Amino acid sequence: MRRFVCGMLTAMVAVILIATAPAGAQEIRLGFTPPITGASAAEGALQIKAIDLALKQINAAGGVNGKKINLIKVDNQSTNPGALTALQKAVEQEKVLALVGSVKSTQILAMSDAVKTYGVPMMIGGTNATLTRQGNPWLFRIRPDDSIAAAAMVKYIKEETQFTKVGILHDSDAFGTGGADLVEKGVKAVGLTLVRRERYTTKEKDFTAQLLSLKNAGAQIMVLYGTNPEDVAVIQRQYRQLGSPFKYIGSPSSQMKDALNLSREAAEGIIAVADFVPGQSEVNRKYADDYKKEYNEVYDTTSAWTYDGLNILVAAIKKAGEDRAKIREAILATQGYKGVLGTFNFTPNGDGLSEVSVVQIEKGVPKLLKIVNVGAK
Amino acid sequence: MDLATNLQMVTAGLAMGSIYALVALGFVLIFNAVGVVNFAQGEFVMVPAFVAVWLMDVLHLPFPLTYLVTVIFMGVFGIVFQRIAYYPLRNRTFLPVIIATIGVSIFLKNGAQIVFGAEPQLMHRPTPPDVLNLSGVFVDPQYIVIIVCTLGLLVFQYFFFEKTSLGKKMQATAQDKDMARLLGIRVATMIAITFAYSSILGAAAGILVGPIFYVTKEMGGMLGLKAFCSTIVGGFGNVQGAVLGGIFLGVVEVFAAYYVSSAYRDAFAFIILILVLLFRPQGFFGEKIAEKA
Repeated sequence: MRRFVCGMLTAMVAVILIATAPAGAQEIRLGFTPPITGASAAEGALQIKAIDLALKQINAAGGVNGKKINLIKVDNQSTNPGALTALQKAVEQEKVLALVGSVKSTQILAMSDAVKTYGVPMMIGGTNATLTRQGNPWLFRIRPDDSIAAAAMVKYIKEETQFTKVGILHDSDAFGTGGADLVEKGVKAVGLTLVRRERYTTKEKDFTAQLLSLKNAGAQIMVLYGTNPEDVAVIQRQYRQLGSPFKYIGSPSSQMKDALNLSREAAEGIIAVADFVPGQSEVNRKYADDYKKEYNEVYDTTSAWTYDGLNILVAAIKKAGEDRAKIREAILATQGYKGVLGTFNFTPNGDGLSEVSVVQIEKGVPKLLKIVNVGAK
Repeated sequence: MDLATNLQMVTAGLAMGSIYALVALGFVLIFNAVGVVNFAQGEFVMVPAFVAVWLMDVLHLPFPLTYLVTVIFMGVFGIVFQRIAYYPLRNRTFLPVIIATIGVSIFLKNGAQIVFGAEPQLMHRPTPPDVLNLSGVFVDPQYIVIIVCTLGLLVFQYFFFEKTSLGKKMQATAQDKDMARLLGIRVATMIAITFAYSSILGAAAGILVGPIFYVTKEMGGMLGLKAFCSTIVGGFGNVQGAVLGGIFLGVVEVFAAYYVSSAYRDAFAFIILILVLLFRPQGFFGEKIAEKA
């Protein structure tokens, strides 16, 4: 009996080994760390839809040199410790070759040291400008960074409007504070007056005090650097309810689908910076069609970076093979790549884009006002 | 500082404070009845908000019917909650019950995400979306609805507890269970009714704030914490204290955010909590808990 059990066990182990070994050799394992649970779960769901579309297309087209891409998704729980754990799990347990990380700057900061230690390429959507300038050569940014969004907002106020008195309202997390710091610097540099800077904590529900404070300080236009679309939606409604006492220009969260779905008519006429405007290029229109076919809904602009991120990463792997250092070089060598978000020309720092669009909300949809290019840095 | 700004902030503060007060009342009633802090109290606001959105968007019920069904649902919900999280543990110390309420809280949050999805939902408002412009003071009509409904509920509650036999039995149960039992009061039933009522208070809060906050699975978290602060500031276990503590916190928060620092808005509630615990641990209206303990 004992011998029988031993035999069975050996046979089972053998079967498992045979079953898994070839599969491991014929696929390329990549990781993705979206927020599946927690405060950003809503954004996470949209990011997964976008990246799954890219994955489906890549594998349908034959993968990389005959190998299928296996994308392993690890929940970052919408928190910094969660993001770090997800990274560790993806690299150590799931043995991924490279990964698409997070869209939140604070989470990327939390992961940054470990990414550097592992030496694993990570595509990021976080827009805090300093992320790619801290001596970590393994981060590759797929969205225009905040210095671009912030510079574009200031440039737009200065060149396209008559306003001189600017107020800032921002989320007190790393994203909002980083963005607001850049706006403040830019406003002063071009000779506009910063009349007041107000902040709020994520998930706050009443912004009366902040908005009134900006109004009473004499702000003609408010620059909103918000993080969570829900918070932004509440701000848009209360801004409207206070009688729109000043003009409103916002960071990309101000035109996110999640925000506009909630604020509805309160968002009409609001100006915001967008990574890009739907339909601005052929790649972009094709993505819109494919997304519509796959999910029967309009895609979310702030999540499309995961689509470009995976595509650029896979293109680099195609060129470089399964070697992390070579993949890194191949990503940095990516020039003139036409993605959904725009034309990518990577800088040595790892920044892919240097242009943004200024949009205005019309009937619930962002309409292009002007594409602002602030030049490569 | 001009009058219009201050009036506007008073309205916003009173509205937020009213919601804190409703949730705080829920805490206090359950605490008085069974001596346990219910950490799922915040979710007592989130669940009815989702239910109301579902009734409106999927079943297309009109406003009054939606509210009625939500309130009835939450009444039943409170009794079921009591059966699951309190009743089986009633003869143990308070600790297992507290852990059970935390468990239910986590379960409800994640359950809401599975059932209703992760996306925040918009709850339609019974009031017009436009603000009232009262000669320069812009007031969201929903704020007025919140304040009036809360006042109405408090008046109802006063008469219910002071003038009806059921209310008096519930009070007797809260004061001394053994004595109440000797007098022939069905203690278990009274406790179940207390949970149901506390849950209905949550329903009122959820329906009232839904159109302003938007409905998410996380909406109860901070609300629950602030309400808990309110009960301690007002004097733990004291009904008037919970109400006044809530309104006090709501108003102070708005003014502190405006005049001191908007970055630390949420911190003010907790700073006040710490100050109260240091200098007046029994709260503004409470009896001396420290001596009792």
